[in-house]
Amino acid sequence: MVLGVLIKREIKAFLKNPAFIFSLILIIVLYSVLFGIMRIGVERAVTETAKINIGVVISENTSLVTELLSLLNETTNGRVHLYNSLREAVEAESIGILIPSGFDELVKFGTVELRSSVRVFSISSTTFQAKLSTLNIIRDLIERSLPIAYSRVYGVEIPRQVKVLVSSSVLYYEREMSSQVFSFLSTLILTLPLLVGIIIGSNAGYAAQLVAFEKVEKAFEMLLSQPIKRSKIVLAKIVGASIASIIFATAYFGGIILPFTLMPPMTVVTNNTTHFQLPQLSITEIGIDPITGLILPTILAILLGLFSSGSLGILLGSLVSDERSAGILISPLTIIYMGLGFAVLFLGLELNYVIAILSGIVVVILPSLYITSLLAGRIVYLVIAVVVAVAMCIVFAILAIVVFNRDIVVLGVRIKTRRARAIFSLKK
Amino acid sequence: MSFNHAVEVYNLTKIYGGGVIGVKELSFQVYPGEIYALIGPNGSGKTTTLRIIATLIKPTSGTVRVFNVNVVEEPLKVRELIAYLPEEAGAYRDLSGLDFIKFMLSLRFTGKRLEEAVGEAIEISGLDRDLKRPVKTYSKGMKRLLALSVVLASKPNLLILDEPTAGLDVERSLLVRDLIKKYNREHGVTVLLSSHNMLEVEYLAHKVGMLYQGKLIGEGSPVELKRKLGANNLEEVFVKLKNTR
Repeated sequence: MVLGVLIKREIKAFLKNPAFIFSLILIIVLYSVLFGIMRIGVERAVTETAKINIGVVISENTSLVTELLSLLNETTNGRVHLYNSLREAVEAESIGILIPSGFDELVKFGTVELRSSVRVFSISSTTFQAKLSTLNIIRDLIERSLPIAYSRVYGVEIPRQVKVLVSSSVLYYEREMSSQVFSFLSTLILTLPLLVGIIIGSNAGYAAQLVAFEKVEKAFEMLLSQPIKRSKIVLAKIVGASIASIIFATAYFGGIILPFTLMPPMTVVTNNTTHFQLPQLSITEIGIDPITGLILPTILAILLGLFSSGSLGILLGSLVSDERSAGILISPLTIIYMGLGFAVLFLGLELNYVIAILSGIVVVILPSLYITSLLAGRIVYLVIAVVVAVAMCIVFAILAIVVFNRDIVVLGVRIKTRRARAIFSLKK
Repeated sequence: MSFNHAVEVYNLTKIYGGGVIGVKELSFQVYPGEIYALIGPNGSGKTTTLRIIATLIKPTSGTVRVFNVNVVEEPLKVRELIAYLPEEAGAYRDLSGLDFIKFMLSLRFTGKRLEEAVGEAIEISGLDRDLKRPVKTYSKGMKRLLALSVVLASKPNLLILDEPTAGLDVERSLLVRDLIKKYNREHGVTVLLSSHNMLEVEYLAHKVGMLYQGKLIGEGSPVELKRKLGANNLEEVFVKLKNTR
């Protein structure tokens, strides 16, 4: 009986807590949005790939090659087009395959290695994977068509089952790289926003809590009445929250990375059955210095993000009267930062002015934009993003300072409920 | 430099969002060296007035000057002249009492002056060994003494105290009152305080301003007010003034 009453009270406390209700709504909305983003990303990749033709380059024109291409054209409804070079083919059709000289001999030996190339304009793993899948379908088609073509040309059955291997490269803007390097790079580029998002998102929470806790501890008004500029208080809180976030990030990522460093090296079987060692891949292969091209931009993005999210957190924290309300306001902000990183993972990162401005505003995408701009040789987007990011830091910090100089920092936001209005009218 | 008034409040009005009136056309002056008490029931505008004078919130209209410095135009300069003890002022829970004293006073003083101020605050607080304990282990009275020690050791020209003894037991209340009186008498600190404890005010204040629904309904020394209205104490004075409105 008593236990029932106690449980009822606990459940009521949850259900009457606006933060709890708000979190529930937020989770549902968030996952719907994320699912929508994932769907858009996959649909876009599928649609793009469905329209693709295949550019084929022939090094040596033999009867077998001609017959094979004829069969391929039949099975793909005329999507095979001939070009003079692999570069020309991939620039025109996004997917290019080179049939090497001595093809007929290789067929007789039972193993044929084809060179291929795919062109991508966005660091989107879904688009890239879709194009790789198309390449694999073509490889399968060639493998299955070869016995038919061989028997048609030579009038006998093919001596042995032919294994077709495809070594693919990627053309990203004007830069060519192996598909393994691109995969590694895209994983890196798409993971960075998530990592940065976690750090920046948690920083906003820390910053808001710094103000909210001070209010709860009732030391806030004493601090505000001291002969110090409010801007100094705001800056101190931004720096304080940032240091806390850096410590948190070091512990968090250290905890994640450490077990991997202790694991034995992994070997991976690729779809064309060749083996390679994962850790050997490096961005230096494509001419990007790991320090200036990866570590420094990530640090820059984190610092800019810490400053802007810290300012936003303090701004929100100064509007509320306790840490619970701060939590309500900060949860969406934290989730937005992390969600943006997640969205990039599925939508990819195209280089255009909108994305450049957006990455400047939210900062989370900045390190990825930095690398892609360098790769594509389009520094203008990077400059725009950094300028916007710095401007946002200044704007958010000024906003936080302005709010700190207003009554609202002491009084908090007063939400007028029907009950509160009734009390006010009674007072009058 | 001598001033006619420590605090000058003219036609002060504060209207909050939603049209709620904090104070309305309030005017009063506090002379240097005086202990002036604003008294009235909850919601009468005491805290609003003190917060405006302490530069924490801005008035909707009217003028407020502290030692001739306008609180809206030069808030930083005003903050150098005042020390404010908010209602239910606490301290950072993660700090020890001593660290809290050092932190707060380091925002005002440096070097030898800081050391002296810290020493003075330690003495005022009377918390001795407890100062090394975290503030989160303190009782309400201990926290109040800690905060009061900081504002007194700041040696301001004007001490603004919002309900300085609210929620304290009799012994601690007496201690706080004695400290306020001592600093007023020995250091010439002007004190502006608020309270709804009229007995406390009678004991402490040279002059009293009675607030009701954001308006000043009576002003004078406790003796003067009691004589004028034929009342035995300030509580009776307040009730009579309120009823004659």
